[in-house]
Amino acid sequence: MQMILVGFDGSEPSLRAAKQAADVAKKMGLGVRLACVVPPVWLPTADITGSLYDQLRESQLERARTLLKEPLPALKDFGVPVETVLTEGPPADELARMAESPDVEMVAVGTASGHAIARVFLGSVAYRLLHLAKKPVLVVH
Amino acid sequence: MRRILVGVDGSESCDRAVDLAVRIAQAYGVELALFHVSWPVFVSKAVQPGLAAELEEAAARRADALLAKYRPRADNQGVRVINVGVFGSPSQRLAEAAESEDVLMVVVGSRGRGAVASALLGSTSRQLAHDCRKPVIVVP
Repeated sequence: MQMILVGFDGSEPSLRAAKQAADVAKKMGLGVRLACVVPPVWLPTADITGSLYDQLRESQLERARTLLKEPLPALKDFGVPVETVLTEGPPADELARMAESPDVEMVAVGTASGHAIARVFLGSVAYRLLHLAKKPVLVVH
Repeated sequence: MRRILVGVDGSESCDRAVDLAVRIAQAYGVELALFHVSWPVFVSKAVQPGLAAELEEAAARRADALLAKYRPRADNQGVRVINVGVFGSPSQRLAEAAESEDVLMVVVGSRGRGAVASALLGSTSRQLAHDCRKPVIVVP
């Protein structure tokens, strides 16, 4: 089945993107692939031990697993197949890479529009994805 | 009637944008607005009387030709089409038109025929994704 890939990070805009994607998917006979991309743990000092790094990474992954479950009830109402994917890496790059899969028709992302400052710039993930993606990008405010 | 807007400029990515927009309009059962924006012509009347009007007419003819080129793609799929040709800044005009509650989504090609057509992402698509309050699909 052809899918719409959605970059989901638990934010309001990403939830709106997921719902918009589900609406388009329903009309076009597609499925929705919700992807949560966990960015690499950034450690400002070099003297943090390996086990702490692993703990931080694991806690991020755990949080992402929880986040991915949250929109499922809302998406169920659209009656389209939904699957979830959890990956690690720089979010825009990782979404662009996943979008190259032949079964991905389109990528959807949300972008902050809530307040004046956020509106000045298109979200950095959306902006970078627009540059990188080889598939159509659905931008939802 | 509710509609999908698609920006047309004759570029390669616009070609793909029209095809996707036709599919979406068909899936939603709504009409498709082929939307062409020509940059306004700025020529002082002192330079050559009538030149500005002549250039604008030429731009309007180009717009008509483009809209006529894309129209059959929608007709063939049974999608109702309206043609819109206006002057102004493309991203601004599209964003304004998208404010209408009838507009569900806007589709544009990522690279236009602007000054730096080779740039990875055209200024129109970037600006539109930024300004437009409706969902925007940017097609590479």
